[in-house]
Amino acid sequence: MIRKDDVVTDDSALQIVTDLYSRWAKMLMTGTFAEMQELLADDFRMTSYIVTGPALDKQRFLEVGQQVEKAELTFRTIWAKAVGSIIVSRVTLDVREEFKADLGPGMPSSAEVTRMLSGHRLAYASAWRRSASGAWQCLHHHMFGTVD
Amino acid sequence: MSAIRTSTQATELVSRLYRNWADSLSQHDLTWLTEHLADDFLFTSFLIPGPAIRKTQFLEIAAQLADVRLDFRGVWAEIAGPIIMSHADLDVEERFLADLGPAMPRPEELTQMVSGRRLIYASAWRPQRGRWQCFSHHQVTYAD
Repeated sequence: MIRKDDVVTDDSALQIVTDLYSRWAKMLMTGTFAEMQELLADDFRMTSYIVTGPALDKQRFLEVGQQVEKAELTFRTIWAKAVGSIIVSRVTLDVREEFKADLGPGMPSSAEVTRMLSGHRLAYASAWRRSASGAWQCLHHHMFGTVD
Repeated sequence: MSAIRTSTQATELVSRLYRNWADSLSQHDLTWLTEHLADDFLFTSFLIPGPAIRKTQFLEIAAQLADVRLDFRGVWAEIAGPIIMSHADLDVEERFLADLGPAMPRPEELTQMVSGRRLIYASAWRPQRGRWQCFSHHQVTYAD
């Protein structure tokens, strides 16, 4: 049986995702990325067109996020659509980021990542689903790359 | 190649591109697909956790598909600077014929993973060589 709360319109999908991206950005900008734990599904994966290599799982993604020293993120566009039981979204944003340390094996150095990303407009596609408790969580985040 | 200025135009264009992509697979003629994947194309997937798949390997995999039927439920696209970003929601029927190499699931496993399922893809396209080419194609998740 579908509960009323389970029905997501495109308008409410946009509202939900705008709120989720805003919380995500705030955590990065305020150095509280550990709280990102609750926004990511346990089987979360991040893939990227410009940082090639194996996908990052939740733990690695949290480790990488905690290496962000300073971040300034300005959203330019957000699009979202409810598809079946999930929401898919796309976002473009202007990014200024500095990393305090290298991001570990299989990843570019912090200087390389900063050069690739910081000062650019980036485009991402994400997918979200409800957890058992009903909270929306990101299950997939894909970086298309720079669009400036 | 006409200018694309609105999401409606982008969606019409990408709907045609996805349709041609599907026809290329179902008709076992990869000419169109070869021309419309950028040389630096990468395929990533929630099903295959290993490294991204490049154009050559992606085409090799495409050549191993049989009984392909892709029914699009929805396509949504928008302009982002010099590129178009898109999502496709589709029902997939396809069979993998041969072993796709190390680090890849066995053909029967792949068939079981995707065939008869509703899948969502996210793609990015850029104008190159007088046509829109896909440079990033990402298998997002199941939608069923």
